[in-house]
Amino acid sequence: MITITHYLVLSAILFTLGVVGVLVRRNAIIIFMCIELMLNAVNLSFVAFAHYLNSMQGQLFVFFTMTVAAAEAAVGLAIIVAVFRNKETVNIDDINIMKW
Amino acid sequence: MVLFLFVIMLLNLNIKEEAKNALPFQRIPAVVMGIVLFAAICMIIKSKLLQGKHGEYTTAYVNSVGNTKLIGNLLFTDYLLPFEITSILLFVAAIGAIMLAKRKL
Repeated sequence: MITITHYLVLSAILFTLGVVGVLVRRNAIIIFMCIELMLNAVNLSFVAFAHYLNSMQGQLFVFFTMTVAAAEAAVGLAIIVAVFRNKETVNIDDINIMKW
Repeated sequence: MVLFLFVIMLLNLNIKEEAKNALPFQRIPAVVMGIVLFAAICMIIKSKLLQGKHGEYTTAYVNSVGNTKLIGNLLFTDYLLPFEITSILLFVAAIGAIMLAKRKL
């Protein structure tokens, strides 16, 4: 029997993987994917709580979260593409100046 | 995810990542703090988190009406303003992405 605790633990595992990925990796695109992983972990716990509490609000919030994540992904990837055009790298250690 | 794949294809990433790591000492503390964070979240899950007021959308009711229909009903009645704000947000994000990705304005 799969209870809500299993979903919450899976969500915690995914969120922790996202946090560690953001801290450890140096590639901008991989950091971006880790941020998406954290967002989706929170989505998972939203849906699990919505099912557990017999509520619909959790699923609606997942809807809005996914919209925000899509907007964020579009703008962030556009920024990464622009940076890559200027600097020929996506390594965040090479992108540590704000003007040149 | 498709967008990610396109960008990875576009940028053609074949650089050796480990060679240019400027903060190699950050890795071990990051993993340790990740484990601590996971333990903290598990402690929160084990505490009194699972109390709360149960709503009216039971599984039987949702299955009888249909999940999509219920979500649609709520989106266009109670949550109409956030829904519209979402549309504006997506519009602005699309314009911003195009402006950022353009070579010359």
